[in-house]
Amino acid sequence: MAVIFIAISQAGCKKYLDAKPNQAFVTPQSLNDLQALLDNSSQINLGQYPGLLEMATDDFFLSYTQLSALTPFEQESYIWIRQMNFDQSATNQNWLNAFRPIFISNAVLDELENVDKNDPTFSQRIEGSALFIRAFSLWNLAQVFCPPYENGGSNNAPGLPLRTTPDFNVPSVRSTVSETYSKIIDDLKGAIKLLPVKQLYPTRPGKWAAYAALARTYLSMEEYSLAGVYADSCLQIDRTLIDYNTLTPTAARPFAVFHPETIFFSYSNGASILNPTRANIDTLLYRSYLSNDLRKTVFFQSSTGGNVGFKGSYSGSLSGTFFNGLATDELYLIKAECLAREGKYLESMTWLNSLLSTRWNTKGGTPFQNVFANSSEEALFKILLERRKELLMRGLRWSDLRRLNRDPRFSKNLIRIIDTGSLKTSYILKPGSLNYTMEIPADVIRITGMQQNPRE
Amino acid sequence: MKEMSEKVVVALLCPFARTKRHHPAMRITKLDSLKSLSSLCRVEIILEQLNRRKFERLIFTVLMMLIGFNAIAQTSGNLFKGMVTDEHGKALSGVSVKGITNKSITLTDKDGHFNYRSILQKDTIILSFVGFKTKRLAVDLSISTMLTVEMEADERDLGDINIVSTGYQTIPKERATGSFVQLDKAILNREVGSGILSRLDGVTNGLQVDKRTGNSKINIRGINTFSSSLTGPLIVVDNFPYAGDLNNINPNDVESITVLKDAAASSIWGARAGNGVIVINLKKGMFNRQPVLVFNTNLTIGEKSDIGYYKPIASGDFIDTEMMLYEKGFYKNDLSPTNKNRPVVSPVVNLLDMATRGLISQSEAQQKINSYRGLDYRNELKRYFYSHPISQQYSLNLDGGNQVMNYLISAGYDHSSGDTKGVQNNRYTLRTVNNFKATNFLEFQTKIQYDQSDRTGGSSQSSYPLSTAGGGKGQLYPYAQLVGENGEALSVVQGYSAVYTDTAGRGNLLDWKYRPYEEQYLLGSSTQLRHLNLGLSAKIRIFKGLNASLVYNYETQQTSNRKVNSAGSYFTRNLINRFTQVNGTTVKRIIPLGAILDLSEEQLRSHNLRAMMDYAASWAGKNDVNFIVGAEATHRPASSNGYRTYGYDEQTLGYANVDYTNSYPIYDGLAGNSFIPAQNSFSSTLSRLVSFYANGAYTYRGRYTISASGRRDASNVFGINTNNKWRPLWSTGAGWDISKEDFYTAKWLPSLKLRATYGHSGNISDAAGNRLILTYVSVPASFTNQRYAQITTPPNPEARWEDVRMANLAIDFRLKGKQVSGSVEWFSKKSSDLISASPIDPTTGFSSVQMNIGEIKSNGFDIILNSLNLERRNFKWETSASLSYVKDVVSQYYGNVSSTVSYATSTVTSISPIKNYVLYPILSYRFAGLDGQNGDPQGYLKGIASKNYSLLLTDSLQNLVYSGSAIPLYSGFLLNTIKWRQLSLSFNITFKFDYYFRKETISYSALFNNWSGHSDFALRWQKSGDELSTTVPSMTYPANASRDSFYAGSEANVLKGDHIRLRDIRLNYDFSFGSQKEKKNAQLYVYANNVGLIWRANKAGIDPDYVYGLPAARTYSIGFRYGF
Repeated sequence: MAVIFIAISQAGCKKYLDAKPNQAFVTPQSLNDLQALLDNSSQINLGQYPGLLEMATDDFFLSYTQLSALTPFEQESYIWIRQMNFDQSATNQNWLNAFRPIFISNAVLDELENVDKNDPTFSQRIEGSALFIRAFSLWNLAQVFCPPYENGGSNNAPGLPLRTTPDFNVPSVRSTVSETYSKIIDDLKGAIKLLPVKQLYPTRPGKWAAYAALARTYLSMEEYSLAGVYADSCLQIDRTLIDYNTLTPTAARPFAVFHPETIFFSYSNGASILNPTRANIDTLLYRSYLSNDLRKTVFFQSSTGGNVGFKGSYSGSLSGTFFNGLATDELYLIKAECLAREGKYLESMTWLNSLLSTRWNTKGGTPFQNVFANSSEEALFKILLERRKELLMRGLRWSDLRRLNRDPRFSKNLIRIIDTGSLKTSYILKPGSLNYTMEIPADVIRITGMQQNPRE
Repeated sequence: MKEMSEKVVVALLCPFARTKRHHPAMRITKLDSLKSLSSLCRVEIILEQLNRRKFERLIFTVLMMLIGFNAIAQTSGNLFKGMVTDEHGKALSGVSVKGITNKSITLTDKDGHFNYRSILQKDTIILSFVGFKTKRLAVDLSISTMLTVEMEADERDLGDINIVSTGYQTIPKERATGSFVQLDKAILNREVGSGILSRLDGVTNGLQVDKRTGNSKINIRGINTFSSSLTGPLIVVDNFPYAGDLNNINPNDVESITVLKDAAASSIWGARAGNGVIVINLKKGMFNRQPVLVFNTNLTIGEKSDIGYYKPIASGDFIDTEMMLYEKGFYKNDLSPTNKNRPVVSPVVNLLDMATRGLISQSEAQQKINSYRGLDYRNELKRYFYSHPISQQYSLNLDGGNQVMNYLISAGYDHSSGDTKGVQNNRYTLRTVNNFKATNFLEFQTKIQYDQSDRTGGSSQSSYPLSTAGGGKGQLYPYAQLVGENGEALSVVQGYSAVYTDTAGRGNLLDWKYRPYEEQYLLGSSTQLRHLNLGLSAKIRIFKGLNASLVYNYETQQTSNRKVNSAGSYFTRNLINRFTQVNGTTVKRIIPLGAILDLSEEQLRSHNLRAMMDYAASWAGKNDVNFIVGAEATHRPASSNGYRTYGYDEQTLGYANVDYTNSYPIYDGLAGNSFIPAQNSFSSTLSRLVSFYANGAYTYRGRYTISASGRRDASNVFGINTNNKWRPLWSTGAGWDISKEDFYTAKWLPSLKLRATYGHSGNISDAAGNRLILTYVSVPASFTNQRYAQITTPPNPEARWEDVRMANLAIDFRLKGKQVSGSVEWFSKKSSDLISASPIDPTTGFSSVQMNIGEIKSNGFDIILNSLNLERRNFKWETSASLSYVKDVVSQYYGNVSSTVSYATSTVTSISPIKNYVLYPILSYRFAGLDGQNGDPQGYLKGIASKNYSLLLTDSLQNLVYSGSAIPLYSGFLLNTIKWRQLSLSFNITFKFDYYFRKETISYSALFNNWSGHSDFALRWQKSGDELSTTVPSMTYPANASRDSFYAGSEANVLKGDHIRLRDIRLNYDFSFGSQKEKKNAQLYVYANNVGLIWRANKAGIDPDYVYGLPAARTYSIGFRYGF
């Protein structure tokens, strides 16, 4: 009997043991499975990008009391000193989480070989999306952990590790800065060829988003003419702007998610330091908004000591995260800046004015006055100021500082003053400082042995 | 005619032998050696142990044999036949029968019969059996060849257990080479309580229970794995791994428990036996036994949970800190009217703020604040929330049988009320087992077990510490008031600031206050568990010694959870308020009024089919062989589902539909637009296992035994090719009874046996396979509402099964006169290919993955000693002592090591492997005392005192102080039993030595930000000179989290865990009533459990068994047992 049993079960064993241990487990079989991975917005779009993109900018300041309640990591980032306290959660928030979309993209690209590709358009859309996501994450990481791209320079300094496989056994090795940016551009250009114009949700990228990301990338590389070309391609698809008059300025969260300016939806990790109740917006910056500029009410809420905090996030969140996705307003500003840099300052003002007019209070008594410039340089100054004001807390300021510091006309010293009541200490971040490049988390260095970024 | 002649002869020869009806158990078989009738006249009473009644029976038996049956000539030796019964005449099967001369072992069969061969006419046999006193019996073939022996039950007899059960077979201990611990009814029934596994703690040699976190984790001979989910032994109930909840098992149904400790013992369980096996055998009926009824009842009352054991910061200290922080402007942001998050602030801060704003006077504020100083909400909790746990237990057991069938029916009812109010638990158990002998060669067994438990209440929200303040606070402020003077429920700050919830909505919102006392009664949670176990087995005797059996076992368990957050509960009110839109006077409630009902169900089924052949034979009086070979398959599907209903009306059973697909603004912008929380969940899992196994042993002349077992397992681990799923495991062992050798002459040590085993067992893990596995998430993605999938574990082509190799050497001995017996075992283990979540390069997108990354080497010993210290006519004192040592050292670890601070500040309650350290290492920063100037804690950097906390925290692992293991290396017990007449007193002293723990301490940053403080605050450095008497650093403002972490992780907070505990005391009074013939036994007992510590090494008042939770409450029981 036992012999019979053994014989029967041996024969049936393979099938018997191939049963799935969990109904929810799937090995990717179809394009739908891969799309489902790309729709994992909580690991691709939401909260994945480094808080460090904003934690060290000159757009805000904290009182000593507020600062002292924060983790050592946040305190040290704020005053630009070595990040000794890259603890597990800081590592996750600023490194791991941004590399996870890259892992997912690599896994999708890898599995694309194995699944049934009966629908070529669908297959291309998936491939394009994965390429876009990988490039988008890399760009955000590069603004924090790579030295600034030097247009005309060798760009041989260590860049990001460029992972192209989901296999964790493959070691991470740093590329160079130029390789990093080439990879971003290659992926985005590849994505443009494959993606449809737009997709169902702004959490999924379309050509619209890929053009925008490419424009942003070229801008950060000081490749202004290319940035202008791709900004143009993007805006030709859709150049919708919200009329801020349609918003409720007093609302705690004035912007709905997926509003019409959203080209690609994503937001950063939460950083306590950026919580609007702590981070006071730079006083001069706040004062630079005119009283009929709707952004002055839509973007801000009052906080302690007559200061204001930022509440105008395009992600509809107030908790220390910031929208780092792509939106049409940014593309207007890229387009304007590139035109101004090409000497087409009149044309550049048209783009700037079309943006600013939608931010103007039509019921405020004074109608919107077009901004004028008499030279390219004047145009550039005006555009860059508006860029800072419009793209406040959008994860772009740090990148802009790194880029603009290379031009003596726009470079500036950043100053932090810590006043404990009995002792005043000031910290300065000079243009071109090594501290514009953050340290890579200690865990990553320890495990991979990759080269740490030098700091001052 | 025959019967008539019997009576005549009896009457003639033995005037005192009464003729009596055949006892059903007294079946007389064959007579083999016919002696002359005249020899009967030389009857001598040589069997001293036999009383008159037994003697009568013996004579009677002999006569019947003489007269009624024919003789069969024997070729080798003289054959003694006999039957063994207990005091009630119930046949005992499995009793080992051993001769002085032959020394081979025979077991009694199911009907209590045995055959014993001897070369002598006169011999002495030794009978031994679990739970009975070992009996030596002189036999004389010239007088009788058929013996009827009655054995006397022994309430506590750890030393002479002779049958071990592996879940596949029973083996006589003399022939077993492996390491087993057998616990019989007597030892298991010492403890009173509704759970069975807790009864193993403190009485099982080599078994340790880790209770540091409040959950009990059983470790047998240490730990053989890196992943916490793979720790814990395999638990086998009635021959099959138990799928249901072990709390279902009524301890009164348990006959015995065998703990399989080494590879030879456990390897028969193959890939699941890596952490040892606990085999629980439930009671069964017996053939030829008159109905026996056993009734047991007891009542247990526990002390209230000692929440005073926790050491929070005193209210006065907490208030002083808050006042200091207020002065420093710490709460400015929280108190800012523009702070849209409306963060919680404590009543003291609120009063200070009101005084500042002139809403109340300074003196009024101070007066009120001072009135808080003496408060401690633990007092109210204890009075209004906690209660004495009470439990009652009733069980009834009936069994009996005739020649062809036997039965057992048992029923149990347990009722208990928990340590917090409203917690009720009822358990009903019903069991029946029937055996039926269809023919001489075919036997069936059916088994039905049904149990149900209903649990109500038990919301975690009413136990200390109340961690409900929300708004980022970890704990409630210590001076909270929960109940007013008139017994009314008072509110505590919850979620948002009290000032905000006072007026929010201007009457358009529901009450937004949180009152914990009222809340107890507003949350209705209940869990109902139903479990059914069916077993069906058939056994065919193919020829003598060879049996084939087919066993099918089915289990199903259904758990239903129901949680009603009634309309008045804070949970419901808060959720409704958050989703309320107030526009002028129009109020729109996105979440409808009414209760919120969460229902969930889990279902588990398990099918097991086993086909097995077993063979046992002995020949030539010298050779004993037995083996089993078999195959089995397991199919175990499980599923669960859960869902939520809004607007539920308990009275009319109405409900409301809600919109899950759109996001809605949160009231007053307290948070971003949100979806109504949906609680739908579905899961479905399936585990399958196929095994083939064989196990055999051969014993020569009762002296030499060799054993071997092999097994091949395969499971449906996902993502691994079928070829890699198979896992072969084997073990082998040898035993040598030296004392049976001719050259052995040590009279002082009449029994000495050596055993040695070596073998492999394993652990099944779900470590990922070589392909990418994605998991569809059942909750749709936020914003898009799309189905999406996750990659939980990246592909790992290298995954292998864990392997545990163990060698065991043992000596069993008995000193002369049976006063002292025991065993000493030494073992060595190597667990390799261990799987652990290892930290990896975060650049991969994962901070850790499950990998085979290491190896543990363990060494240890187990010593058990039983001694009969004193025996007088009415007095007896016995001791059972156990000492175990095990040290698990990580010998290989390929995984990445975490940051230093994570080791130094960890509670070490989870496994943290580091090469060359024990599995649970207590590591700490070297402490250089406090700075005499300002009370700063100091450490050492490169040997020099330092206060650079950033560098100290990240100092390399090698510079940490290694104190030792966080789990005891030595553990054991000393169980004493003293009997005087019918009174019996036993008490168990347990001890654990050579281990350390990290005590909790004050963290100023946690105190400031989270309200969680520690009483060490009172010991802090305050002025120069304090550094001589304290190690607690001064309070600084602002708090420095690194400084706090450094002190918490310093050696100043590492304490020795060694302790001795009086675990329990039991007093029995045994009595019997009824006629001499129909004697009924009964017992009255009182029992106290968790009596208390006798000694502990630490002076901080911490019970080292319960460092991070509450010590088990002391309980008192009284009970009555009848008819055993």
